[in-house]
Amino acid sequence: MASLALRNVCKSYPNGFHAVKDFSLDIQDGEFIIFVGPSGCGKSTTLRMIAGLEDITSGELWIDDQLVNFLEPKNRDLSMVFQNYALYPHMSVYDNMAFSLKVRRMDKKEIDRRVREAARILEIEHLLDRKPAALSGGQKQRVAIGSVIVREPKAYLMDEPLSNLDAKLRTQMRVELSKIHSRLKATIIYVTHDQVEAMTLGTRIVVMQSGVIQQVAAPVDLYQNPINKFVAGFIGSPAMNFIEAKVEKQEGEIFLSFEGQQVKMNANCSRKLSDNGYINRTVLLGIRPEDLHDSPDFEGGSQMSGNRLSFPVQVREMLGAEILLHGQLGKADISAKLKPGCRIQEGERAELYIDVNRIKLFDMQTEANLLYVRSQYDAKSKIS
Amino acid sequence: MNQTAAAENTVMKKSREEIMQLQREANAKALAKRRLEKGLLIGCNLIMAVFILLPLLYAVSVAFMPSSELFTTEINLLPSNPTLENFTQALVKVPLARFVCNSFLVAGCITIGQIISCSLAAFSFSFLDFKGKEVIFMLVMATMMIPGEATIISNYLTVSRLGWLDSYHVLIIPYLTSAMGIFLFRQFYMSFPISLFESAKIDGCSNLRFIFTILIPLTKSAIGAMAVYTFINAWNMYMWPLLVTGSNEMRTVQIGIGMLDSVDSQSITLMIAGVVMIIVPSISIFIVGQKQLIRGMFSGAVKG
Repeated sequence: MASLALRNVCKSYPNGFHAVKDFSLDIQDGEFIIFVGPSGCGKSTTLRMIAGLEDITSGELWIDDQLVNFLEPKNRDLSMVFQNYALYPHMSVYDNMAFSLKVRRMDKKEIDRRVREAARILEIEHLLDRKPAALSGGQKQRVAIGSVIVREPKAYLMDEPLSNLDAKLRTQMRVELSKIHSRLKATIIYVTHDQVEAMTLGTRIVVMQSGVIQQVAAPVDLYQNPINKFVAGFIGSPAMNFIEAKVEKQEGEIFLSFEGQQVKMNANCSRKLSDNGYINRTVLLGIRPEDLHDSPDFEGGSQMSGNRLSFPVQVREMLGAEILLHGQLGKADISAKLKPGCRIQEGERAELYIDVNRIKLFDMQTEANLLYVRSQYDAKSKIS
Repeated sequence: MNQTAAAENTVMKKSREEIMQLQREANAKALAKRRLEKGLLIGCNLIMAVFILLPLLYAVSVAFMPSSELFTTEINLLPSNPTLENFTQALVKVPLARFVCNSFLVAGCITIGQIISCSLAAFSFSFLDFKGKEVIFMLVMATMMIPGEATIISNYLTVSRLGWLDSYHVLIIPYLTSAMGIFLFRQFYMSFPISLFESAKIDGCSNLRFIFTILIPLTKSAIGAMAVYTFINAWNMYMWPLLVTGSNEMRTVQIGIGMLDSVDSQSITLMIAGVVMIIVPSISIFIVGQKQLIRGMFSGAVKG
């Protein structure tokens, strides 16, 4: 296994399009790192540059202590799982898995040992003689992972490997991947646009937008401490609610006013807002749907029970374990995730308690999180 | 009450039977209609097939006729006294066996050569990235617009300076690649998943190894189409072999047929017997490879 370092890596195309801009990141040995972001954010391009399938326009890529910018893909000792599995249709599962080792002229006995070991780990021993066409999607995915495991490379690169599977199989394979990671202690770089995969698999997540790293953080940090509005909105499902609100000071207390409603700030928010000169200015209030409650029985709920959000419910979705309420407040779309006992119906007005200790506040211009707490990763990787 | 129920049952039973009867009648009608349509279709196809194949079938028939039977005032579709004399005469008069061998050798070498060169060229045009790729491809395609007759004299001068006249390599080497072949393979490779190439590259596979172990086994239908197309074209070559070969040892079969047509003693039956003998290989190759040819020619045209 190996550590990787990307230093100011850029990718631009002859037509002037900049796919990746100034990407700097240190990936530790054995880390499961996730590149996540919307389509076209440059996450796959970055992965392909690491693999050697795309040239690096500028910047440096180090694997262990070797600069690999100009090294051929085969000499980088990395292996990659593709979205569409990339299995050779005319070869059996065994031959598919053994192909990379045969190319490297490895001893036949060693090839056999490694293929059977990988097949045992992935529980595909009974499929070794089949052709890919005779396999289901999940089995194909296992074979694709098997073909990269046998190589025992320095790092595994995975480009949306689960996106072609159905929801149930995806959950199952996610668990499998997690198990494989802890078993192999491998360095894995994983690209996905699915935030659930990102949150459940990654030891660290790199959130990207328009070719730029937005934030690098552990999943829980990313959720609780997003650096800006984009990250806050991207992580979490349904997405965070954003409401434009005016900061007002009344009798020594700080309130946020919007659409005829007021939310009283806690001590931390009040301090940040007044210290940074936001009094009488407009900020963006961010509330996660799960931080809205239909009763004040949550931590700190009774002290701040005056803080309510009132909006007309347009759609009510019963998901079994939870209820989603959707409505509109001024220009903002509002979603709330409530317990299944909630009796609020469509057409009614929801009066929900806000967990003020978990709200986020964003600057209107820069969209930076005003409550952001600098983390250990900020120093290691350049945050734009 | 019971009686009423029984009566109702009878009515229902009757009506069910009637319905079944109606269904049977409808089914029989539909079946008869379908059979009639199918019969008509087959009949029309047969008539068309006979009409289209008539010249070919008549040629086969003429090949078995004595010369005296051909030139009569009556319609002689079939020989009344079939004979193999025309075939033996054709084989005796010109060394047709040698010509057939030559043609097989030349067409075979051209086919293999074109498959190798065109697949390699198409590989670079579809999988590799290099400067001027599009321009070079356009240039290759542009050569398809130049008729062969326009370059035949300059080509003749080139090969004669090289001292290649009247040899196998003058028949083979100028035809070892073709723009059409490159285009055909490229179209096929464009629909080939690029991730297989990238995966092989990361696995440590060289370009040549990728071509021989992955690309060629997976593009058999394109190769089949190309082989049939090239072989038939090479087999039917006339102008170039006529120009660059002079001795009987190097002549190909199409010229051999021309040699059967003597001004002094023209025998149509003899010539037709020769033609029948030499179209057998191209027809059999077409019959064997027609599925591959059609699949290959149309692959890439529609996204699968």
